[in-house]
Amino acid sequence: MMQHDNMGKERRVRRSPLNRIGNWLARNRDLVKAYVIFVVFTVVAFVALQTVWCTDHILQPLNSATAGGSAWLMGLFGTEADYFGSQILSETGSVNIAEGCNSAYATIIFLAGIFAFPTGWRQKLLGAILGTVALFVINLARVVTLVYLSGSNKGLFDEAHLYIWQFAIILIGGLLWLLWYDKIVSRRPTSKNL
Amino acid sequence: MLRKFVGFGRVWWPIVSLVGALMLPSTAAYCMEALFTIPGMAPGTQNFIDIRMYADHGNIDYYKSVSITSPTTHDEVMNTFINDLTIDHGFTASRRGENLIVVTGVLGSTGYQLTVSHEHEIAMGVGIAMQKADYPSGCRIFEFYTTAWTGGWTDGTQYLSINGTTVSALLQTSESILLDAELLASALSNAGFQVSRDGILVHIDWDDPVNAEKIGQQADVNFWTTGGGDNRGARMGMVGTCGSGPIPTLSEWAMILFSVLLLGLMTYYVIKRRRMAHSVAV
Repeated sequence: MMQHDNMGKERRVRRSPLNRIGNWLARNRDLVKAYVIFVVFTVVAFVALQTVWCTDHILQPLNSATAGGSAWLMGLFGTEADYFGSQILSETGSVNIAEGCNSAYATIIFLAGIFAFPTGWRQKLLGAILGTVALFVINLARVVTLVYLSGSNKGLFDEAHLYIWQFAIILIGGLLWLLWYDKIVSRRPTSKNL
Repeated sequence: MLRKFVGFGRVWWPIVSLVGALMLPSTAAYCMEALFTIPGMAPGTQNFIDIRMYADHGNIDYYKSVSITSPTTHDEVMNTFINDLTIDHGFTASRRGENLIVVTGVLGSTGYQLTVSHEHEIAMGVGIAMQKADYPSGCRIFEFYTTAWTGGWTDGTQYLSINGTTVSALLQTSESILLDAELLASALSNAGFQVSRDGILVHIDWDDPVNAEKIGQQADVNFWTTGGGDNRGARMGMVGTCGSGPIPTLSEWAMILFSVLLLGLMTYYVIKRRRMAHSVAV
């Protein structure tokens, strides 16, 4: 900031760090608000998922749905598969959908990215629904490939499990978000947040 | 200059986020794998017994997996492991009883318990080897399940036996897979295992003291069809509920990187929209 002294010369005034931070926050209020929403949403949802109620009413049904959906998908490929609770039983290989194997946590992070972004609620809801469904389906594809690999190639199973699919989920999650922004948010007719 | 380079709103910002999100977990994962390499299970056949050893003391301190041709006796196998432990790896190992090797004095601690497991290939419809795996740590629950054969039920009679002794009643193949599971549970129970059954799943918990006594022994569960056509009928499979390994969609680090990626994208587009709004206003 420049000020004039008695002689009329310009002099640079040093601002305190607190002032600078305050100014930065004021300039980036929308961004800070988005970060806060992202973090709070993620933390609250992760904590909520640890509760018994969520385990019984969300995670276990989701595990069963993942196992059932995967068995159904394998059936489409001509593999006889069944599921029992969260277990996928097949002639090719069998796996157990344990906690974290469903797409719940990835979905929460994705939803945090959707809800934190400053746009209208209609866009957010649309993105949340489509994104949740897309991640669930992608997770089914992931589980099915892993079931096949578990029965045929243990080494490749570990590679696919630890490296390939994790990258893929991150990449696909990012692309889904970009897709949501490009197709839904940026085409919004009026944006009061602009 | 640097501030310009790293400033928000640059076109390469999301690209860097994407590349970083892709590169970091792979680098980290490969480093971790290099640090904590555990030999993978060699595919076995009926002619091989896959022996696995695991010293459990909270962390993986020693792990070995070898394949020995089936004529090798149990004593030879145990002695091989003791020699391996003492001579090649500097452990103090002694044999206790038929199946247990106790390793003491490792890293200042005592009481390391070493479990030895035997595995061989599951041959569907012909024989099922009941595993003695204790890998990975803490995962000692195995479940058998029965499924209907794709070709449908056929005439004939099926038997269940453990270690050559027929322990089940005759099983008509026209019966249900649920009955198979009941008979399997009964067969295992008669063989001295503590078994529980939940529908078509038969559970054996190796942490149960009765079952734990049997660690190191091998039981072969035979299941075959006589008469009728083509050995078809109900099949049994086995799930190592933990042995298969949970398959998390995202690990902790991957979740962090996914969050960073989304925050990066969000930041880029918030600032882009802000600049667009500014330019429109100007």
